[in-house]
Amino acid sequence: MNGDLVKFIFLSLFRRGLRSVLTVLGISIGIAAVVALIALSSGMQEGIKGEFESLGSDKLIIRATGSAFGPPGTAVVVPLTTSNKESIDDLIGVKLSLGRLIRTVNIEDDESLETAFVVTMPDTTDEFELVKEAMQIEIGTGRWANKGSHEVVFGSGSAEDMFENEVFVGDTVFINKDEFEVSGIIESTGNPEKDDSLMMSEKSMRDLFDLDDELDIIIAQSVSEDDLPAVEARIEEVLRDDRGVKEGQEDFSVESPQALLETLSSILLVVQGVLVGIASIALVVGSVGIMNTMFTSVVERRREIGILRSFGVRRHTVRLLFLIESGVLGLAGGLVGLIIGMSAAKLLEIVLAPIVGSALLQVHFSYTLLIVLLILSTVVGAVSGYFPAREASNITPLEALRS
Amino acid sequence: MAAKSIVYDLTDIRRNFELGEMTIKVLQGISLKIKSGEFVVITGESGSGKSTLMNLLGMLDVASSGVLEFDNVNVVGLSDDELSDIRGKKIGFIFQQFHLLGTLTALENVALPLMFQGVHEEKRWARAKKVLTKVGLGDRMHHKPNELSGGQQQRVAIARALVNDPEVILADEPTGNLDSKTSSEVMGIIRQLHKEGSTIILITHDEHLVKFGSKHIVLKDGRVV
Repeated sequence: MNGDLVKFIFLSLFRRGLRSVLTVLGISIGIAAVVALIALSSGMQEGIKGEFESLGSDKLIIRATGSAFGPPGTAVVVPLTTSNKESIDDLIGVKLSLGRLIRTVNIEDDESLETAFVVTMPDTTDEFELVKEAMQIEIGTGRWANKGSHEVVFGSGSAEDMFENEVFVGDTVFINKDEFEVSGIIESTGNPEKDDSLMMSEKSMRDLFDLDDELDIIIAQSVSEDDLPAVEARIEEVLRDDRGVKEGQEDFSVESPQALLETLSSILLVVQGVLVGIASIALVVGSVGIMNTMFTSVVERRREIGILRSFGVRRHTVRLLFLIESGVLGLAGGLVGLIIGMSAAKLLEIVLAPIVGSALLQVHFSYTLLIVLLILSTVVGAVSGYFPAREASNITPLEALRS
Repeated sequence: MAAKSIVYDLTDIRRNFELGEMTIKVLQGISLKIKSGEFVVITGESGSGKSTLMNLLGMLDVASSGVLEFDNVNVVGLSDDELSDIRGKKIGFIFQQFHLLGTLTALENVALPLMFQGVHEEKRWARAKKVLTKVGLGDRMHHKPNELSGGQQQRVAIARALVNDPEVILADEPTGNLDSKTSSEVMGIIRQLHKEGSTIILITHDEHLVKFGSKHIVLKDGRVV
């Protein structure tokens, strides 16, 4: 009997054709919106987490503060120095530290003049290796720039896009009017921030800008992850001494990527909250749509309920019939919604990722969410079919027949 | 089924409808008996309460007061499930508006009541085909109602009413939506059923149909005349 009932339900859904399809579509749009929005926002979170994780949880980033905005190095009040770095190197628990300079330069080829950031690679081997490891970069063609040479390394993105003509190894460019040879091009990382950068040796940068002992950023690697808080405290203490500032008035900051990640995560949570909010509205609109469709459909089918009741179908069976039917529509709507939402998010990733940066625009599907949404659409469907059907089956068969 | 057993025994049946403050007394104390195998024609002007009476006989509606015995059981006050079960097993309806399900074929419409009775699928199809052939629609079983003429649709409805092998067939203006030629075809089928021993109650305002019945009841203002 129950098997027959289900067969009968599927038969009538199938025979109603377009009507069923439209109901399913109505349900699926709300679900699709939720899936797509959440997949994109949690993908963004995963991407940012991944970036920070590649930096490693055993490192600390030291910066001179005072430059609240703009790239580091442009408006620092008291810059970090190489002697600051040496003090950090001497601390117990610090395995290695490295300093980098980041500057804006004018760069020109035969045809045009552009502005770009150049970052330095350390001149000692172990520090150099640490940067490569932390940034996860490898040279693609050519080789790294030699210490103190007039050589520059292009990222894969900047090599392609900076000038009209693509830059190749061996080409000549002018950086702040000085002639530089392109010694190598870095393999593409998929992260535009890295791919669009330019790199040269630290000494080359000091010569170019006539810098003495300034550093824009110091990265310190702890001997062990567990020691990180203690190392952080020691660095702060030694830098206060070095730079002659009191506790609470530091003109520098020591941050672990972990702490940065936490700050960023809380911002992301807000972003995700907003997206989920929008998605929820879509879902509510979708749910009201389901209810409306189901309600109209059941009211229109009161006569059908009357017919069934006239040949002896009990109230309970009528309700069961509509409960299953609307549940099936809800489930189908949910499934179609998942497919639409997942495809739309994926499509957006494929189309937009190359433009805005693949690391941040990626989709991430949570299976729990997908299952919850399926259950939700089934329940909303079932409930919104059940209640009008209950009402229609509560009246006498005669009244139902007459509607 | 004993030949002359009493199927319906109504005593002082009343049916009132509340319309705001007003109470409309549609049936004002109907008492009558209907025996097994009879062909009862109930006539009356519109508003006489004949449709209301038929709805009570078919247990689609509930009397306000009185005793309505069906098979020696007073059905006034039975639960909805109990009434549903009686309808499903013992009563077959033929409506003026046919009341077929538009999504189903003739065969599926006819077999549907059996499904809800829990009859096995193969048996359902066999039985439905048999009654459809009996009403002369053996060749149009797989057509949907909108592909059938009015007369054909009503014959599908008759087949559906017969499929459960009911004790009573209730026909409410079965020819009301049909032209005279198809009307006489449909009446021919109903007369044939009577000849085969079915108890038939026919409601109509068409005096020409009275001659087919074995018993004639006239209603006027909610009373038997």
